[in-house]
Amino acid sequence: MPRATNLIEAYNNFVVEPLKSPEEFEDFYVERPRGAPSPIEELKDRIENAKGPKKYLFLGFRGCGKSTELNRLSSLIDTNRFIIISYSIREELDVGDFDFRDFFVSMALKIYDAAEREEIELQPDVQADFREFMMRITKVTEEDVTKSREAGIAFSKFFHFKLGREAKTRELIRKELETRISDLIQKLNWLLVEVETKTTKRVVVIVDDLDKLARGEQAENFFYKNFSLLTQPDCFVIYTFPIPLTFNPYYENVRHAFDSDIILPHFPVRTKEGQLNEANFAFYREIVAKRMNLSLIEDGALKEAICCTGKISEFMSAMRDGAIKAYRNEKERITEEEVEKTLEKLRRTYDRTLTEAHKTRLLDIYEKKEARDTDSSDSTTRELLFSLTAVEYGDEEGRWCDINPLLLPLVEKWKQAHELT
Amino acid sequence: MEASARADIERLEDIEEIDTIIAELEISKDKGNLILCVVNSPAYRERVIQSLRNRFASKVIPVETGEQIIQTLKNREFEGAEILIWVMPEEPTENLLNTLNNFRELFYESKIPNLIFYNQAFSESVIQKAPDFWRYRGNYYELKETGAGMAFEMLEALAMPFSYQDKEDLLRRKRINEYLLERIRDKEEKAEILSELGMISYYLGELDKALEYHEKALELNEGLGRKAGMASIYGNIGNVYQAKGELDRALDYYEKALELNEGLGRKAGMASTYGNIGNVYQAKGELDKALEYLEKALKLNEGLGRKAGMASTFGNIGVVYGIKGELDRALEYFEKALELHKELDSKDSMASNYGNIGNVYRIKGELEKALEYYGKALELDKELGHKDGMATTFGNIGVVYGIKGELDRALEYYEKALELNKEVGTKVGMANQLGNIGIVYKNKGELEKALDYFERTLQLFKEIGARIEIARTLMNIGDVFLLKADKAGALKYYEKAQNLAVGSSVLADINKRLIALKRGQAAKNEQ
Repeated sequence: MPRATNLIEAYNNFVVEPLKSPEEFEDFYVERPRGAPSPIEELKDRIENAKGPKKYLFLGFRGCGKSTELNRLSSLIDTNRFIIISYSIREELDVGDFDFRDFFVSMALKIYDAAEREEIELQPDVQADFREFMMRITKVTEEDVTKSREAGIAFSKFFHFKLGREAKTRELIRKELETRISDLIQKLNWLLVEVETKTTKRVVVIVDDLDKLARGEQAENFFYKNFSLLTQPDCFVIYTFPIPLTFNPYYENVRHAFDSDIILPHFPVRTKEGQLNEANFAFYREIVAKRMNLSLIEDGALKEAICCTGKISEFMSAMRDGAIKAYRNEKERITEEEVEKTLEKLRRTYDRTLTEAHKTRLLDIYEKKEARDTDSSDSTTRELLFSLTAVEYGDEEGRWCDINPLLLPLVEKWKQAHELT
Repeated sequence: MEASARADIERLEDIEEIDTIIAELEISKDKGNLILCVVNSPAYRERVIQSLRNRFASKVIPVETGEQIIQTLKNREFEGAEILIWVMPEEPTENLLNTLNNFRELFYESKIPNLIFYNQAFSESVIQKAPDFWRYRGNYYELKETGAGMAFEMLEALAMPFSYQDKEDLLRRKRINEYLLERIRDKEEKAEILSELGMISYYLGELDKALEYHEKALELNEGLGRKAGMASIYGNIGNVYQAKGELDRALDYYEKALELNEGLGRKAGMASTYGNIGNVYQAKGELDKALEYLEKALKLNEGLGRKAGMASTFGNIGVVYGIKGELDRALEYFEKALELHKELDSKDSMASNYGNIGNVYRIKGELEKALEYYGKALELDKELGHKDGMATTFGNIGVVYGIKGELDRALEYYEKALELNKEVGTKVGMANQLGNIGIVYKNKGELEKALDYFERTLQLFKEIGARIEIARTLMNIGDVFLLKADKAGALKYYEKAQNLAVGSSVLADINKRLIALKRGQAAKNEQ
């Protein structure tokens, strides 16, 4: 994708999707700044040098670039030595109705699928055993499987479809695996042994979007009640992990069951004391420079957009909105007028969605540069972090929190309202 | 800031927001995109959607369940649409929020721009409970309309094809379009607004202003390479030149329109252009050629089931038969036209048809019936603010009074008509009224005055190139010479007129005069 030379191309280049293809990485990827480097290179080294299969938790707030970094990991790992099975749970499962049993069925199917893709001839008994097991727990007949094969639907695709789309199938699976989840994990591990032996490569499974299980008890059930199961597959697994769960004291117990928890932090454009962090600022500037000619935006407008958003996804949206506004205004470049309008609209929207309790907590976070809920029944801070109205940063000064920089102009208004009440 | 001033600014912002949405949809055609739009009032939302549908081939999907979204996007059930417009229910459900949050990529993978409408409460739920979807947006808009007022009217102007009920309506749309012209930046929309302003000016009789708007619209359409838009505007410019009496220039533009319409296979456009060309040939007096084009237009209109097109073509064919002197045939066509215009509630066309029927009765000598029809036409023209229509009808009424011998009354109507024609700038109308006034003076015996008016009439018809009307005027001048007892002068004019009147009913009148004149001369010679 060529660098934009006009505002229409710029609009189309600022898309809030993770980078995927080698071309996208080549054209658009920007190295994270020195003060907040990507942990992916280190993770790659750890995997490539590990003696046994390891399990990792990968943490990061929404919009900090997790999916892009995981996609990069897939491309960095030596494929002569490793088979990468990378997927999002949202591709095949119903995230609204999600259970650890569905997850392991899906993981087993992904490994089976990888074996087919790599054209590995599985031991007939291992293959037959797995297929029979899948048919049994889903009450699917041999005839059904044959029909779907004749319709050009692969075995794993057929079962994934049923798992993702049919509540009844999920109900059956959960009932069948109620007391037999270890059977499934055993079969999954047999498949892994087959794949690894026959290819002399080791399997790395990367599971994206598990961090999206952040609502209700869903995530806690999955990660806290069943965490020991997550360590049982005999391969490398990288689990994306919902950051709001780290606010639960139980996290400390769980974390140690995994080989490492890797954090991809948001990095601030300003320091805790409010000084401009030149290196971090330069990172955002470079994102723009890769996607469009810098002559398409006024320096002041660019600085405003970077300093008031300071998160990749929000920054990209602001640039996109600024580009379309400038285009409509028949300007040759994005000016402060467009950026200010874009930011004001977003600011107004966030302000309206916040409750008084949220605003009080945001003021507290702003003052203390720390974000914690008062007790386990309090979820205000988690909600703020979840909606990105509060942000946790990691930089040379360590971990600290602040309100979304977009909301800074509202602080005085909130303070006055707060004092009045 | 006062509340009303603030409300005005908010309405203004809405129009700019909609214009930006249009720009955004336009540049993300054939690409996945996710644009969120908050609108609270369902009626207002419908207007916005209508204005977008007017611009883009759209599939509008009232959303009920998350599964519906997944199925539509995965199965690519887009039915040839350029954009998908999703209308969320009033209340967000857990199922919908989950779907949006977890299947957000599908909107981009669809390779089609998606515009999602929901209300404020839904929007707040999205931000809180579907944050991944919210974060994935290409852009979002919040429209502020509360349900009525100017924004509503402006949206209507953007949404609805041009039509109007009366003069007030015409002036209202003029105001709105002038306002929109300042606010809208999207070139395609701007071209449409300019074109509509051109048509409004045309109907208001402001022909030079109409030309100015159409020329600007043409320039924009040329820049955008919008051939269909160019074809329509060529047609509109042709109409203006025809009204101005510049028939050859009108013909040039109609031919340009025809060429583009044929190239694009736009049968409706071709039908209109054939009709217009037919009318120009009628005005030029080339009646068989006029009928040939009008028949082509009628055939296409019938094939397309375009009742409005059929109605106006019936009327125009009637006019040609009227000029040819085939009055019953003309009446038959006018009545067919009137029936369809009534069905379509097309008041301006009804007015001109009443006028045409009145003309036939006048020529047939049924003067009271003629006056009755002219009265109906005048009533509608006044209601619509049609100055040119009123001018024509005043002229026609004048003719009837002239025939009835009420010469001063006739003169009064002709003067009224002439005044309006001058105001509008229609040369044909001016020439007709000057000719009519000349006839009154001739009948009153004020022959020099009559000659003066006929000379001015002749001059204008020559400028227009209206062959038959030139013939008729020459005949009238001949009549004055005859009254002045200058038979040689009269003969000279009648003979000139005779050559030009071939194929029209005027020819019979001229021949009668020539025969009488020659008989008189022969009798004199015999004596």
